[in-house]
Amino acid sequence: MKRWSVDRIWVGRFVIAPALIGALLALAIPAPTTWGTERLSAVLLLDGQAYFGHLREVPWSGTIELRDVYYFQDARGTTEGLPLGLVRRGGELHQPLDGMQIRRDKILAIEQVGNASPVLAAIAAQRMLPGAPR
Amino acid sequence: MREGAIVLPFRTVIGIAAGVVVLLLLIVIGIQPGAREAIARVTDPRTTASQAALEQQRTATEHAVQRGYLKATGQLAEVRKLTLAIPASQAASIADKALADLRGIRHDALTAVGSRLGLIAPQLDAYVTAAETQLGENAFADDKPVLLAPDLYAVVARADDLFQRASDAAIRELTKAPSAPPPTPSPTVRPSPSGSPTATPSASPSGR
Repeated sequence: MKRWSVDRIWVGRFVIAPALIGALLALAIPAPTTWGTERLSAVLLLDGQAYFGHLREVPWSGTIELRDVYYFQDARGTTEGLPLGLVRRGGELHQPLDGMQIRRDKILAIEQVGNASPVLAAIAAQRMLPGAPR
Repeated sequence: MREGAIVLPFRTVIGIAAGVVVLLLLIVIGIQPGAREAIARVTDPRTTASQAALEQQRTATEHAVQRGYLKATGQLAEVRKLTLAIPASQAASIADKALADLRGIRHDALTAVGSRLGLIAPQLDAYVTAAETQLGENAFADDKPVLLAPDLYAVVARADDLFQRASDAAIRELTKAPSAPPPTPSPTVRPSPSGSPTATPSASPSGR
């Protein structure tokens, strides 16, 4: 009877090590198929508030991290012509630094913002204004 | 060879060292903001607006400011149509001052728009003058709404607030009850300290 023998060193070197490195890389770097286009996320909370920004999933954490954050403000009293105005997070009284942690249990949905959406157009215009962070 | 020493083949040592280096690199990439941002610039670049899109934002902002201006002047005009308790000359004076204030607010708002777009002194003044001329009294009511960039939206929101305050203040003044007439000066009242020649009868040269 033929017996199969497993070379543990071979398995460790060519299977387990690449798998571990791949898993770590996947946490740090997004899939190459999505490279080259901006991935702006909309995080919709249970209380109705929506935040837009660059999402970073923190593994094994109860929170997600959103950077370069924008949100909607009631603009019905203004003459913008829309019921909502876009505001960049950071100008509040406590002047939060970039990076916002949001508890996962408060999130209703996470969606990717369309590349032709008014939100991304407004953010893209904001980045072109002199002195505005890109 | 010393007794109890662990002997590792050279290739194994090289493999372990390479593994440790890769692991450290991954940790640095994951933790260091600079390294993470360098990767993000390639994998998740930031979209910036084209010049045409920026022009659209500028025009939409100017029109929004203009709508706020016209809303305020319209409210003022509606109040002027009423029969007011104050004298017509006083009402005209209040309305003229309010209109000048509103034009000033629009001027400042357009200056803020220009400076947010990166214009500086000589070009900024030329831009504001040209924009004011172009806006005139047009209402731009049929504009397709544009979601403004946050900084431009802030200019519009601030201007709207100031337009409303100026208009409300003028309307309050226009619609207030006329103040009680001052007591009729009696002929025995002492001359005004201002020394006006038409002060009171008792101050007349005839010296009654």
